[in-house]
Amino acid sequence: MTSHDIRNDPVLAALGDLPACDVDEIRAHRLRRRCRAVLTAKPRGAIAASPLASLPWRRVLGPAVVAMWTALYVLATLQQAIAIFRP
Amino acid sequence: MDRDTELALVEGLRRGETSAFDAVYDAYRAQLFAFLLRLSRRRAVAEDLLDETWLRLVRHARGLQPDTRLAPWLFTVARNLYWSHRRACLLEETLDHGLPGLWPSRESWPSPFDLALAAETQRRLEEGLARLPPQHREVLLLVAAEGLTPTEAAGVCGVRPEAMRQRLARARAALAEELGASTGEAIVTKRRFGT
Repeated sequence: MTSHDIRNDPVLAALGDLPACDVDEIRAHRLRRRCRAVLTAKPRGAIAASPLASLPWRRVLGPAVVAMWTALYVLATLQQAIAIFRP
Repeated sequence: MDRDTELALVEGLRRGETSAFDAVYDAYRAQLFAFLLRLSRRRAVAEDLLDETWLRLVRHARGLQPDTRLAPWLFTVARNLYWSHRRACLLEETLDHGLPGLWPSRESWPSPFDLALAAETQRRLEEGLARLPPQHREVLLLVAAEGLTPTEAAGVCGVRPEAMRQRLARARAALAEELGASTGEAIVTKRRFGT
């Protein structure tokens, strides 16, 4: 079906004349306010700019601390296991 | 809405301007709601999906491409939300077959007879539309009721333009069959004489 067919088709054209409908004013206003609030909210990048979330912490210090604790935990577990199974 | 205005509004949305949002909201809210209402046939569902569509727009506003076409973008989101909702809730089984509580048009009619005739024709049209499968309904609503081009509608539905044209022709034939000969003639007569 081409655009020309659509324009000249009475049934399809009648669909364009169906009555308009909308949400009630209170709901429309409430949604507008909510969307405006989301639109003007601080972007995520700006929120994450705290000293703790800064680049050195996220990229270097954080992983290093986690790795150190993990290594200590594994070592302690191994020591326990060796102590149990040592004759 | 002309293309320059649309591009300016997209730019405004990307900058987080509420005035741009207001303009888009006023331009497309009723259209989107009518589409969702006729597609879902439930006012409460249409209202929820409308809320979610607009919230998606503002959440993604800063990431919009500068050349975004707003109507296809909004209708794509609304349509995808409807299909997600439908899949999640298995809507079809629980639907009642009543007409959606549409608000009357503000258009005035020349006489009570014309008014009654037009209301009857529109009622049959709404009923015929409601009886169609949703795949046919969405095509007719996007192209015939909301005025998207078949190419834009194809983008919204994620199909090729040629497939969309075929789907539109099938949907139109299905609607004509639902309407029956008498209503079809009434519509043709109404449009021919402009009553």
